Amino acid sequence: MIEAYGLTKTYGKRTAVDGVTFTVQPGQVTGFLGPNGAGKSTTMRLILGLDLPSSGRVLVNGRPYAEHAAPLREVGALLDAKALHPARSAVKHLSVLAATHGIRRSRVDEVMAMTGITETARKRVKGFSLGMGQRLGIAAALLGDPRTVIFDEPVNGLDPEGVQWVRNLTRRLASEGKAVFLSSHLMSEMAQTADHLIVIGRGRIIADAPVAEILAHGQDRTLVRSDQADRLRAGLAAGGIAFRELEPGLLEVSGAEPRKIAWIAREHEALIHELTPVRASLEEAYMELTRDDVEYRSAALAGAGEGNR
Amino acid sequence: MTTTAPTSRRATAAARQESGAGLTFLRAVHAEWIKLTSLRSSYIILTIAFLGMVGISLLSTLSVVDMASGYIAYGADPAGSEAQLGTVEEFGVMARGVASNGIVIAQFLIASLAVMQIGSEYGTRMITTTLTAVPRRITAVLAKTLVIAGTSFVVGVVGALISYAIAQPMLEPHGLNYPLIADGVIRGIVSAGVYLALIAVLGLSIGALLRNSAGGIVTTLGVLTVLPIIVAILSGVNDLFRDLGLFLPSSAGMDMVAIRTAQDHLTQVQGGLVVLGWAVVALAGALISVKRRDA
Repeated sequence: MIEAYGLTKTYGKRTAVDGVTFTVQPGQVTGFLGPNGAGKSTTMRLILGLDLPSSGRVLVNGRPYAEHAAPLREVGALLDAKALHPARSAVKHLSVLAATHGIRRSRVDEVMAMTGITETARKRVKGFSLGMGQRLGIAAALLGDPRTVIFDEPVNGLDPEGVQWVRNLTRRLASEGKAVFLSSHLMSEMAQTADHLIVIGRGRIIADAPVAEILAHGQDRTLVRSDQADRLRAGLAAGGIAFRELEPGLLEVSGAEPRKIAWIAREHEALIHELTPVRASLEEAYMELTRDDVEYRSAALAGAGEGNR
Repeated sequence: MTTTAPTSRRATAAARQESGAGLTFLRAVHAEWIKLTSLRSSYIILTIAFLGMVGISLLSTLSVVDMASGYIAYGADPAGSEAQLGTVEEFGVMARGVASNGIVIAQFLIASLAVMQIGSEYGTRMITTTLTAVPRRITAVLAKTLVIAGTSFVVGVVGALISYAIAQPMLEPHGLNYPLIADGVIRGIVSAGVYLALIAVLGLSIGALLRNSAGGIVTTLGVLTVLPIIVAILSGVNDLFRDLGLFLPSSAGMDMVAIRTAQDHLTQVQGGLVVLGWAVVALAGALISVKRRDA
């Protein structure tokens, strides 16, 4: 479990994380979404105490990370798959980490087998592909069989089979009761993996809700093709229903069910020959959320512009 | 929160008991030892340090032998040469000192390796991984310090002992050989190890402060070699600089390992304390820096 309270981090004048408060619950996968530079990695570094917060605090499993007697048993983290010495072999890299906690050698073999890097264990990690590097990073994170797992963009550089593997792994870790905190820029990935989403934009939490709820935020729409589009337009307008004309004869209607649209078309004697419901994707919901944030921010900056100069 | 806390603490305790796994200083030291010994570069640098140590000692021995034989060839009298070459007593002091002379070379390699112990971690971002496994940063840095200082001590002592062993048969024909227990010999050999250990601490600290291997090595070697040159030039300007020069780590180190120090130099103990002072101040700075700054 991770609990952040008013977590803020500024680097000079730039505020990377701005008063962030959230909880990552055990037994589920919590997705951490946000555009590049939104503060995802900084937040994760703050959780592990790699960066010290400018204000606020963050607890993992009830206390600051560094205060645990066995930190690797509390949190397993993959923040940066390249954060290792390139001339050291994978098995030595893991042995170093295991040694800090007196973790037995057989566990090193276990996590290597689990992540499929046993065959390359004795090679210098210098020659590892991005995907192999990610697997090694995940192996390192799992070494202490931690109760909380933090993965920053774990599917980066993985092939489709690897992506599937990470998805199954995170689901399994959550089902074992662990708190899984996962950042990714792949929204579709989150839709399939996460139970709960925390969306961050420009250092602030934009949304913190179950995936289903966030999905509901994105509006469902219906594509309608009609030979009498003008009549249909008039009917929709009369009913106060929002729509866009994508191309002549093709309308994208939001805020009305297909059945309702069909009734309106019938009333206005417009023939419709296509009526396609379009489910909002998580990606769209996410774009919707962050677009609001970006617009708000831009406006705010424009207003503050004079003061900065 | 209040209800889950006791449960989670019990679970943690159970997990710990199950495997006996928890972070301790000795375990951090063990981890750093694996780091040092799992890189080929460590062996290469330590081997060169060791060979350099023995090589310089060998050259010193040859030089002493050469001077001694020259002195004997001149016979008892020629007044000028006696002053120039020194007395038999002084040859004895020189001969007893050869075992530790190698530190003049070994210190550069030891210092460089020590800088790299932490500089390369910042360079490769391995430091993130290190401080995730050992989030108690003072523990992390002290574990590193202990490993590199301990290793350097062993290289210094073993290097000096082997140098001693090689020198004896060469010195014997001139009656300059001496037992290990002769005055100041063991102290000189141990001091060589202590000096290299302290230089390692200095190097590691500078590496931690600069967070960069190349910059750290240049700075450390600068302190050991360039600073004495600058101070030597300035000592022509003011006597104060001459005295200051005695307190630089390389000069104090030579006094520290000397069998007999010059009249106007530091004593062995003073030399040792000065080098210790450099190491301690640098390490304190490094600990504060690592503790306070973001990783």
